[in-house]
Amino acid sequence: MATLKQFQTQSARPLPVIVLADTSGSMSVDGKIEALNTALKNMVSSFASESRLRAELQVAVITFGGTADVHLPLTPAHQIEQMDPLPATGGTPMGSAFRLAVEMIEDKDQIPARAYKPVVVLVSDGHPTDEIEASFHQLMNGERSCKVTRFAMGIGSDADLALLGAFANDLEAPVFKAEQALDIHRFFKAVTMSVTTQSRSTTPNQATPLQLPPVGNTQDEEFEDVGF
Amino acid sequence: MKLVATGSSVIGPAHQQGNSPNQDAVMVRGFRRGWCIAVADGLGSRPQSHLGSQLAVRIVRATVKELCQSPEASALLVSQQVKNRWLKAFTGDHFSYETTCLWAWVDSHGRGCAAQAGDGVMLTRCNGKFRVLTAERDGFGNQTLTLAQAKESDWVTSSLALTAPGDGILLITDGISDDLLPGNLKGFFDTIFRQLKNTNKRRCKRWLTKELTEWTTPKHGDDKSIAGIFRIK
Repeated sequence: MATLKQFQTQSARPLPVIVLADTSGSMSVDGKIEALNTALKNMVSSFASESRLRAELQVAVITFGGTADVHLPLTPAHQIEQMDPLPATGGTPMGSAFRLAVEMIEDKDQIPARAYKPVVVLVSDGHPTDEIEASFHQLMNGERSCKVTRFAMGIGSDADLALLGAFANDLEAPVFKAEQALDIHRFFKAVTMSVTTQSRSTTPNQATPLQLPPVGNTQDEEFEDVGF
Repeated sequence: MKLVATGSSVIGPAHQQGNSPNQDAVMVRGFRRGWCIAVADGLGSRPQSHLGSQLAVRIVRATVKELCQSPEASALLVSQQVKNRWLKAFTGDHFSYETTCLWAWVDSHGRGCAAQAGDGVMLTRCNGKFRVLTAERDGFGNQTLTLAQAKESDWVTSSLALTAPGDGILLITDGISDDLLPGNLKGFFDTIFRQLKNTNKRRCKRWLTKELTEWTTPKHGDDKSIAGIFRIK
């Protein structure tokens, strides 16, 4: 008896989550980079432990501190054995990070056409130190990159909130402002909730708005309540 | 010449789990010793899209029946009529009913046409030559153009000439096409043709339904619909 099984792909549809992480020198003070590292690690391990999903959650981390680099290429969350801590040093080449993100999103070998709409998360505590206009325009208007869901968090009072606001396209939470380490944790928890809720739903391509968890649950105790 | 058609639609695990209806619709109808087929995929995010997709395939049948004798009838003309009639049914309030639409018609001489608005794939073999009529999508899975949104330039259209045994047209919704290995769509087409050639129409439909129900792609969730017309002899 003939079968159609041989023509079916044996990999689940990916749902890519791309984190653009500011790792400039200013992130090294007040425990910001430590909070970011812990929050990223928790997000990846939450993704990895989810089994009720209609998609394979994949994570990529692009850092921008001194230089912009793909710290972690798109990898299924359950295959990430450990997240190496991000160091914080140098300037804030956010424009170069946007360029790397656009390259990743537009590349159909990295993100196939069957993938669910990617989620891009931008985290920064400062102003860009490189040319940003062209790559920001590319990110907002690229054939595929214009279609992604974008969340943004500004850390501390020096963050470029205007730029982060222009980046984000979640109408219910345009930019999240982190004033202490705990807020970084809460933001990533909200991103984790949004992505897992989306990928469990019957319509995994629809972004779920960010809903920040209330302050004061047990996991929050690992974060020092220090203002930036 | 012998033309045979088949089709099937199964609810996806995601809708089954959520007690939602199958949002796809399929239509296979014979008339004037030819065949008319259609598949439509109601948008998952729209609450009444199962009604929108059912209406779309019914309108295709009525429109093809009406226009197929007209010398001016083309795939695009029929498609535009289908869209206009579908929109008219909702008197401007169609948002909750949005759907894609793929349809094909072949007359008793093996001549006809096919058209597509939105996601899914059309596969064909004409004059012995296999072709994928649909271009690869630009965006991501489940971000689709709809029947209501489709402008003239958005329709993918093709004329059909089923001149040799093995020729045919196959319409599939993205619940199937997104999970197919891109390198062997011809093998997929041929397997369905052979099944239809070697069994009767009823058995082939049962086989198709079983194959779609027992889909093996991990974590798949979408409804799945398929319809095809083949020249057997």
